[in-house]
Amino acid sequence: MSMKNNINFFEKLSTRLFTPLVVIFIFVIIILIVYVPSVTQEHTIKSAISTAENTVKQYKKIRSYYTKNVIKKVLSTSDVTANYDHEGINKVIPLPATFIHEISEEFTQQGIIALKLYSPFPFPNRKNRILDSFANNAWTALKNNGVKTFSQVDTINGKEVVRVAISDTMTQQACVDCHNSHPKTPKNDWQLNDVRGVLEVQIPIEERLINASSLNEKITAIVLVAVSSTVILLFIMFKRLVSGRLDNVHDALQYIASSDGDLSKRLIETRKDEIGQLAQGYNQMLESINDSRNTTKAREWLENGISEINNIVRELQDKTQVSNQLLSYLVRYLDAHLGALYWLEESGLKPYANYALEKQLSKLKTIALGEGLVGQAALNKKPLHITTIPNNYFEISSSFGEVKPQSLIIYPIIYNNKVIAIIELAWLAETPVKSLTFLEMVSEVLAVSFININQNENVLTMLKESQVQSEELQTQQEELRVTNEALSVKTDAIRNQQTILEKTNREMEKKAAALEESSKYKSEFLANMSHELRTPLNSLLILSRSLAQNDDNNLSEDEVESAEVIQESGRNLLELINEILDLSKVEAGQMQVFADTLSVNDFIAALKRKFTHMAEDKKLTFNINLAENLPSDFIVDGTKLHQIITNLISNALKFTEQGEINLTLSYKAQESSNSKHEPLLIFCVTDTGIGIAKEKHQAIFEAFQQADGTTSRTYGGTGLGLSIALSFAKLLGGDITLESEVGKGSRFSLSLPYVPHRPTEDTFNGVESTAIATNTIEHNFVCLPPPFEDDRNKLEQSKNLILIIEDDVPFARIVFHACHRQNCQAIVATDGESGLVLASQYPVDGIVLDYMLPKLDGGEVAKNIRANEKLKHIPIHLVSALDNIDTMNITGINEKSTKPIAHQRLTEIIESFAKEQKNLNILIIENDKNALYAMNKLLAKEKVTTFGIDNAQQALTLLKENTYDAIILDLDLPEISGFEFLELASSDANVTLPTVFIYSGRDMSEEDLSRLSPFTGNVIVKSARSPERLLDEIHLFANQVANISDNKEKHYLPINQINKATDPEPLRQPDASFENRTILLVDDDMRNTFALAKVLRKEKLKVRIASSGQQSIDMLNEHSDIELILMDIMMPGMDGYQTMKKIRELNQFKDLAIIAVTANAMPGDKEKCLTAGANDYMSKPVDVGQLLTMMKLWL
Amino acid sequence: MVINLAKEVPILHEQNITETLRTENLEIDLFITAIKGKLGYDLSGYARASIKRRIAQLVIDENVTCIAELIPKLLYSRQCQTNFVNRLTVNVSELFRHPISFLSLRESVLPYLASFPRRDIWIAGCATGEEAYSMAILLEEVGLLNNTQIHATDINTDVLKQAKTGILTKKLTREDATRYQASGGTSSLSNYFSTAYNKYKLSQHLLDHISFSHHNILQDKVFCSAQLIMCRNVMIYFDLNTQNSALALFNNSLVQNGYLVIGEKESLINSPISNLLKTIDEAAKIYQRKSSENV
Repeated sequence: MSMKNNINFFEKLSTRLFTPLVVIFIFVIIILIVYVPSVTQEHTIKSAISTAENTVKQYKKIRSYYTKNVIKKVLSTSDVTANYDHEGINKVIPLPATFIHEISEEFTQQGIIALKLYSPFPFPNRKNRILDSFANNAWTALKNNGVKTFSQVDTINGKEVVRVAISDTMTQQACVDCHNSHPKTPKNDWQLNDVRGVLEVQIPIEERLINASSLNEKITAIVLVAVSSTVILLFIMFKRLVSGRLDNVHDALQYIASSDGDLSKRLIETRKDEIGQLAQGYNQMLESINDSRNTTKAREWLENGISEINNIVRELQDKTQVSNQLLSYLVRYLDAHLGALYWLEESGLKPYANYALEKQLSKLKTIALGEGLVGQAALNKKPLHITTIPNNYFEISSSFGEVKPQSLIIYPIIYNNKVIAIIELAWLAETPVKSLTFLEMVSEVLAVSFININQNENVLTMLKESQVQSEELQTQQEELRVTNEALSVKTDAIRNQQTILEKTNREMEKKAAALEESSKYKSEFLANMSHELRTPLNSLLILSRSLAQNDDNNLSEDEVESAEVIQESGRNLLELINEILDLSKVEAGQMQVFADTLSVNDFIAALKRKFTHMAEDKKLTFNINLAENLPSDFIVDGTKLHQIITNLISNALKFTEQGEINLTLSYKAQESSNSKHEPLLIFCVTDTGIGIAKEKHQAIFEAFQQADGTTSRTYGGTGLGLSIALSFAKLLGGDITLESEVGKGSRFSLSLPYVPHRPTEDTFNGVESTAIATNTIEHNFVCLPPPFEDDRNKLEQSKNLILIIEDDVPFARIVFHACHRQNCQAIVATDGESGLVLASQYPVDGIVLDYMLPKLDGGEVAKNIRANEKLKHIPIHLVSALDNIDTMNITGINEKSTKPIAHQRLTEIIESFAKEQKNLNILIIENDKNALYAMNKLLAKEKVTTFGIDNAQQALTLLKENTYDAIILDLDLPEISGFEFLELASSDANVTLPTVFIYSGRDMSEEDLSRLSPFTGNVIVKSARSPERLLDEIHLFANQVANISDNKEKHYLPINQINKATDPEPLRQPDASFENRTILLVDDDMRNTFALAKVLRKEKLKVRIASSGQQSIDMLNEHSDIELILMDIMMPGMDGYQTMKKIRELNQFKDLAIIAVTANAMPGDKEKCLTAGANDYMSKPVDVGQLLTMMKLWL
Repeated sequence: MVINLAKEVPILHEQNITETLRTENLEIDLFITAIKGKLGYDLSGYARASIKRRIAQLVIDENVTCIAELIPKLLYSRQCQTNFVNRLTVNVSELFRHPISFLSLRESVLPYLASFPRRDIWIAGCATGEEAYSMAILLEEVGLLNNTQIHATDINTDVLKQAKTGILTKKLTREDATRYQASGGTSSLSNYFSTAYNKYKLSQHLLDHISFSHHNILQDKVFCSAQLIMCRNVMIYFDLNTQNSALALFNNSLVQNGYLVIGEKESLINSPISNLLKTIDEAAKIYQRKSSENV
């Protein structure tokens, strides 16, 4: 009861239920008290009235009975009469009314209900009856018969009465007659049922009222008591039966709330009514909640455990870690006290974790299957639950003691009927059931996770392995990358080097140019200098000589001696100057080398002449020896040789005091097949002089160096001789070597390449050796004389000059004569070097070059020519007997031909050189003056001559009158358009249409291009860079024109797709079987079709062109005369395969011959073409000859 | 698989390193010979290192233990034949790769090509088509697309099939857009693609100007005369001789004054072709055929 404070008074059920009741009760009481009395009064009055009526009725009844039965009968006997006054009178009976009156009066006096009778028409004896107001009112109300009763409460004599007036009607005729006929009647027109009077009954009510009201009170009191006691009783009962018990329930519920869910308290209820049932229900509910709670708790416990276990096995991957964590968790969770976890491995069940077993750990070892309980459980694959523990089991120990466990579970973790691990747990008490359940539930999870862990371990192992390998790979990759980088760096470096090289080259070229400039100056200088030096010297010498001769004899001995000294000095000076100049010339590269034929005998004779005397003077022997195999003569620069030998011999003479000086000439033939070792001539000068120290061997050959500084004083000489000798020797392609020791004399050996003197048919004696070439900085080439007389000495400006480099003399001769026949001139060289020398010396217009040449081969020659700025433009035609000449990659040559060469060919070759010089004539047809001007400017620097015209008509005229190499044509021209021009020009027999370049600003449609395709494939659209392109095309065209091709086509072809066979044979006659047959070319590339069409048309074929697969099909449908199709495979949109398939689908074209043309060279491609519907197939580049043969087959 | 790798990577502890290597090389040679003999594709010109890598990957994917075991598969399974070749010749490509080249094309080359009434552009080794798409976009922007036909070729039938659809293998990324901008792009890259089902497809108008065909640049011949040839990052897999022969093919396929574009890491230095081509832009690897001589 104490807890219901929170319900306020007005919300209590009891209050709510009973307050209204009480209120009603009070209300009722009030009504009772207030209302009932009046009701009672009313009721009393009503009952009084009713009584009154009854009374009246009775009286009336009596009266009417009396009347009927007495009066009437009485009166009918005459002697009795009825009157009011009858008292004591015989034979007078009372009137009915009187009867009533008197009775009622008596009654009234007795206090019993009184009846009065009165009316406004009283009999006289009644006149004293005063009618009071009531009576009047009553009469008024009743007289009309409207109201039968009129009542009122009145007080008479201090007592409350109810006065009830009832109408007294005469209902019997006897009454009416009597009243009417009575002598004292007040009224005699009474009718039947008229109201005669008022019958009033006065009923005292006071007592009644008092009674009634006391009764009321009594009743009220009783009611009050009864009701209130009922209410209270009800209230109490309610409280006890309902409210109180509900409070209990409430308390119980609140208790649950405040005690945080303590569901233990039950409601105690003995009764079986609704609340009892409620309580019972409540109790049951609590029970069930408790139960489910317990169940939930149990389940949660299980689930928590499982999820925790899940966490453990998920987070950790290390077997040992997992085992430890897992086991300790299990032990604690299952309230165990000891635990151990084994994993099944190859060696058996290996312990991975234990709980509280540290002290006795040594006892844990790997268990084999079947060994002990654990091993057995593993074999059985079923959990073991042991409750009787053997004695020597592990004890559970803590700081305070040890105790043996009471129960064990050995639980194997199994998956797919394989044991993975075993968990052993021990309890001090009985194993809680939930532990077993838990283990059962968790075993599968554990099994799966354990498997995972095992697998992870495996994976980890493998991962480690692969990591190692990937590291290795990475290293390798790294190395590769490094290598790549290095390579790319190298490539960059190479490129840089190239750039640098180019730059260097350019600089070198500049330098070379500069050097040439300077060498030009140098030679001028030298020439001047030599002149300047020699002129005064000359005078000096002459005069000093004449002075020394003393012809006039007017000079003293001293003076003559002085003059002689002067002369001698002058001569020395001259000699020195000569030597210096020689040296400078050699160094400046100005020294010319001549090729003479030297006769050995003459040579040595001259030497003998010169030196025998001098040797004799010094008492020295001078011998000249000749080897046996020495040829009698050879080609050499005799002067220089003489100078060298002279120098050597004079040196020998100078530095020898006694003994002999020998000159030995010998010949060393080619030693081996190695052609590098050419035959040599050796000139050996030996002396028995002072010798030269080894250290000085090098020095003495240098300018101004002598063996020692004192030599010139002792022996004279300028020190230039040897250096000059050496330079000369080198110039001649030889060398000087020295063998000498101090005191042992010296041996100087000059070796020169032996160039045999070749006798020729033509008389060649005494041909002047003309200075042929200056040795340029780069080459020390010797230019040998031609094998026969050529035109070098009789050059004519107007004729072309052709250089023939050919070692086969007969052939050279043939070419030479051929040139003459072509009105050209020619010069001949028999080796590459000479050829190069000639090329640089003479204004050569073309070179006919053999490949197999001594020393420098044709390729090298070409390279050199191309490398030379001045010469690189010269066209070179390679002619060789080698049959692999075509495959050799020889750069620099314009064309090549193989020997034996046809006459015609030779003519062409020579002709081609002639052509080179000419400018191209180009006709420009352009109506825009500015454009024309621009084009002229553009082409101004080229080797072209332009003619401009602004309309097509005039152009046609020009074409008729002149020949042009090319036309540049705009399409939008006034009057006659470009297209029309082309058509007109081609159909006009008097006009040969040269190569046409379309140069137009028009946006070309397919139709435009196909209209142009019969005439040209060169279309340039005017755009930002079109002038550049136009120039490029013109250049190419010019080159093309200069090149020799087999077909004298003046039209510029795309040369990459049609095989140009360099076929020297004359063109075949067109095949008659092709005449007027029509074929269809299908190719999306207009240039291909153009080229091929041209070739085919020459064979008298009619060619139709389609540029797409679809178009070809349309054309087939449109034109019925097509007999063969050349189908390109690679086309955009519908390719060749598809087109062919489609064509074959159409019945009428099933048998039409189709040759597929494809760039694909794979083995399967032919099959592909044939499957698609081709009859045959041809691969690009198209060999025209082969194609024609194939077409003949299929047409 | 891991075990296989272990076998193939020469482990330093093994004594017969050279023996293993020799056998491996022999296997590779045999495999290549088998391919050539059976299918006609001569892959011997590919650089050894890259082919080795790819074969190794093939071994793994085919689940065999050594290269030699691939040979029977090659000889008797049609599917393997195509598959192997495709796997060995896979190329990776992306839109506007090496944008410098595209920029240079836009500025220096295409204006020149405008002077031709019709243009044929050959993209050799188009892989999944990105290069051809990029070229189409470029042409469209400079207004030259209409009279141009792009021929895109590759040896690999799988990637060709993909390329033909015009659908990109990956989504458009910001890097693509950046490269496009760097190539001088004037609008927005996504304007040229329509998206549906999370895929990007090149707009049909552009795709119509590209034709895709199968072509082996080492064995097939010239199939068109092009004003511009792009062959990028194909020849780095070739050895020197093969490179030269490919370059020769390109040179022959170019019109006079036509242009050749090669890959960023490639070079003409070691090729005789370099004599016939004039360098237009070394960094962008653009060259022009200036000589009238045939190789």
